[in-house]
Amino acid sequence: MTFRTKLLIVSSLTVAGAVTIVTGGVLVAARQVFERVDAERQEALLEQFKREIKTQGAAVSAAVVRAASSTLLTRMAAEANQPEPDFASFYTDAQVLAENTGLEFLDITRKDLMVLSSAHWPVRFGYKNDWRSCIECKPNQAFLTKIPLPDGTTAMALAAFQRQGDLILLGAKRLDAAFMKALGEAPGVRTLLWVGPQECFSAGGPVALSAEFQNLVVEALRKPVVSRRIGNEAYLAVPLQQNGAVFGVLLVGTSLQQQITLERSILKIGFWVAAGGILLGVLLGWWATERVTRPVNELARGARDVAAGNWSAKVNVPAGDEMGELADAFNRMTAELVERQNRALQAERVAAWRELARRLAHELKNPLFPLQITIENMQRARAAGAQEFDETFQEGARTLLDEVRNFKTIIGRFSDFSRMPPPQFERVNIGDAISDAVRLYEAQLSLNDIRVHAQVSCAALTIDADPDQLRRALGNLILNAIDAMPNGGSLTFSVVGLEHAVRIAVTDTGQGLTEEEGSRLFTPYYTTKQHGTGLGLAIVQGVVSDHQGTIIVESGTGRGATFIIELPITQRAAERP
Amino acid sequence: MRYRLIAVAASCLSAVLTAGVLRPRYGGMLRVETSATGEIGATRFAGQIYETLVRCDSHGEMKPWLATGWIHNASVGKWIFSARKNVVLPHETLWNPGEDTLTVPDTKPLDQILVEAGLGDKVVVESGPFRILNQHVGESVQLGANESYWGGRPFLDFVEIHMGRTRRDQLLDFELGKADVVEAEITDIKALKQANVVLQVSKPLETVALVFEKQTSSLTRQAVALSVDRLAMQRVMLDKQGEVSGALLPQWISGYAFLFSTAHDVSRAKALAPAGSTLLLCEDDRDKVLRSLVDRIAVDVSQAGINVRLATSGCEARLIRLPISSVNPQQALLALASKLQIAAPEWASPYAMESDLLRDGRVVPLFHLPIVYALKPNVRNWSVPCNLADVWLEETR
Repeated sequence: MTFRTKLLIVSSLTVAGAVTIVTGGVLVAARQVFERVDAERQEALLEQFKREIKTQGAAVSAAVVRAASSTLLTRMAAEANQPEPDFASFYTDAQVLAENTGLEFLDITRKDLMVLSSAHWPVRFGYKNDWRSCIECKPNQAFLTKIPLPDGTTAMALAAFQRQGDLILLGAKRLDAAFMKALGEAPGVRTLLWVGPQECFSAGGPVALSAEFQNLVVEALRKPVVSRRIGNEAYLAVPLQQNGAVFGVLLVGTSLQQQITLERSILKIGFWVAAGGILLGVLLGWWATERVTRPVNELARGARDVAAGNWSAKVNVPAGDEMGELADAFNRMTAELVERQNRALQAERVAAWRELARRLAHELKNPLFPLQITIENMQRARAAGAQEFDETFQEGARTLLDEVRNFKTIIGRFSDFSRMPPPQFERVNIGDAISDAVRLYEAQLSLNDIRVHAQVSCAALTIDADPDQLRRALGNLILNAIDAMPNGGSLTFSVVGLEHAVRIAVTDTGQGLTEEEGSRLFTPYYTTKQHGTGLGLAIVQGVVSDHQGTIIVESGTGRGATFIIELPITQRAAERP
Repeated sequence: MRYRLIAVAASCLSAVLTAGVLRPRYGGMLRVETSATGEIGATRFAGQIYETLVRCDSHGEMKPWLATGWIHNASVGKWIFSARKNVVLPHETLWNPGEDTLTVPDTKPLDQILVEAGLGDKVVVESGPFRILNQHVGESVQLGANESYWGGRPFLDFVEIHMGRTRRDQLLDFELGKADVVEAEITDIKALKQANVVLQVSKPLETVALVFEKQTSSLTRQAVALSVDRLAMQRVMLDKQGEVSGALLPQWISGYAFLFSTAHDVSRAKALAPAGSTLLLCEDDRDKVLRSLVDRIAVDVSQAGINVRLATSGCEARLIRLPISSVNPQQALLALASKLQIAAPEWASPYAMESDLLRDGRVVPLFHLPIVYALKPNVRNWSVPCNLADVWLEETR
């Protein structure tokens, strides 16, 4: 991943993270504010509900008092004082009384609560009034109760009772939609009164509760207060209790629409700010990375050039900042490297010439000594007489010719090394090349008691190579092995096919090389042998190098040596004939 | 002295006028409203148009009517009725029945033969004191006096009967002067009396009974019968009118009604009621009294652990009014069986026949109620069971 990409990602993430944190914070704060406001509104409505209960309760109580003081009830009370009271004629009177007093529910009962006349359920005379909790309450004190209705349902009502002689008068008003309407719901607030599984109403009328509401109600019947979000509304469920008995559940809901709208707006703004920030970050990052990475890229390009051998590579970065200083340092470094390389090359050339001179001197000195001896012998023989001279001349001439031939050989080798031609590539079977090379030196190998082993993993393995140069390189390795194993041994060729190359390992069982010998092995004119020119392995390295390959040696003293050559299977098209 | 003479003269004049007013008067049209529906022949007014060989008198005895008598011919094993001579049919032709029409095999007791003849099994002739002039079945019937009636021409010229009217509508029409005679609820008696309305209250001539569908379980029927508090309903809801009863026929007709139980035993009803049993009870919106009674029955029955639901159709039980069409117990029972569409009991004593009818508990009698008519003051000689032939209208001044 490039520095630019990293920088862009980091800047984008930073902007996005910052905006997310800020947006989240604003959202939480807004939500808290709304929740507080909602809670206050719910609390206010609850208070209003309680006040309305009190107000309506007082009205119910007053209506019951009016009913209790009516002539009708006085007549009933008088009848109740008779030895055998007959209430049959009062059967429908409760209805009249209820209509006159505005009470929706009215029961006139005996002391034992047996109904004598009922306004809302006339046929229930003779049965006991079972409005809950009225016995525990006091006259003139309104109480919440549930009143059974003829259709099997119940109604939640505010009730009060009065005694009139031996009679009890119970009156009530239903808590219904009208009552809920009287609460005066603020905009965005909805109040529901749950009375039973089949009965729930709001200010607008009956409401069918969904399963979520039913679950909330069930929970509210067990706990003092439950709050929950249902749809786009937050509900507070408060059970309505009287003397420990739960008569219903008041559900106060506040609309979350404003909150949701605000949250959506905040999220939308946050999104656009984040998007804008990221875009800005990208642009700034792009600009910044352009300023930072362009010099870096220049430096990288310069470094690659240097790595590729172009030590004179220069980077062009405007000066004035750290990158400029770095570029200057790089340029100074490459200039110094070039200078040092030149100096090293010069020194190496000098060293090479010295080594060449030394080698030439050494090579040429050896034949010179026999030449000198031979000439001196021939001079002594000339002085000694013609007969002795003739004898010595023949032998001396032969020796001189041998040494001259030796000179030619030496000079030819040097000439060959200097005239190494560029390879002529063609498809070459490695196995065949090894076989050809071994065949050339078969007699010498046999003479030195060296056994040859070949391990070719793929006999049909072919590569792009110059067959003559390859055979020559392999031959030099064989000669090198013969020299390394004067007392015989074994020479092993192994060929392994790699993905894009072949690996040829030539292993001898000779005395091996020291570390110092190994490091200088491919240096031209370096040899550990008495009669070597030091060019054989240098030629091998030259051939391998011309084939875009590599050669290394693995060895240790007394462990023999293995030359490992890796050659590409195919040469680049430009280099092929 | 002069004042005394004036007073005597005024008294004489008043006596003369009074005598003139009370004398039956021919003519006029009587407007009657009833809640009965269907053919006129199936109502209480059927006898004013159609006649049978015999007819039940006010004591429950079967008396000659179109037949003037009957004799038993033991040699042929038949009862032979003698036809009345001057019976005129609608087209002014004389009724001349064939011998077969007037001959009945004596394979049945004479009482049964006479009761069946009174029900019109053998002969029904359109020879009554009134004839149908115009009829819209179930809505209205216009009757005209039969000038050739063998018992003498009725006082009224016309009778207009409006049918299928609710009691409330009837009372409204009565107050608006659209009807001369209407049926009134027994619960309205007190208020009507206070309003000085002329009322004609009969002896109990209507049975209010709970009728179950066949599929309801016997135990549920028994539980319902035991859970209903008849007495409370009669005292409070029916203004102590009528009688509490467990019998189809009222005591004054049968004399044995008290033998049928009216026990109210909720604990026993609870024990009898199958667990989780339900009852779909029909409520008649048109009949205020029945509706309130059904509401009370629902309350009572629910005390027995039966879940009662009220509906207007598809019910398992319904509360109905059964008119008692005859004061002859056996004839009344046969008519009730026909009305209830249940198998007629074997001919036996009235008690045995009634016991047979009530054995399976499908019919649970609750009350016997009187029939109440509200009459305009000028309607004279109205009686229940009604005999329009004797009714006349006083001339209004």
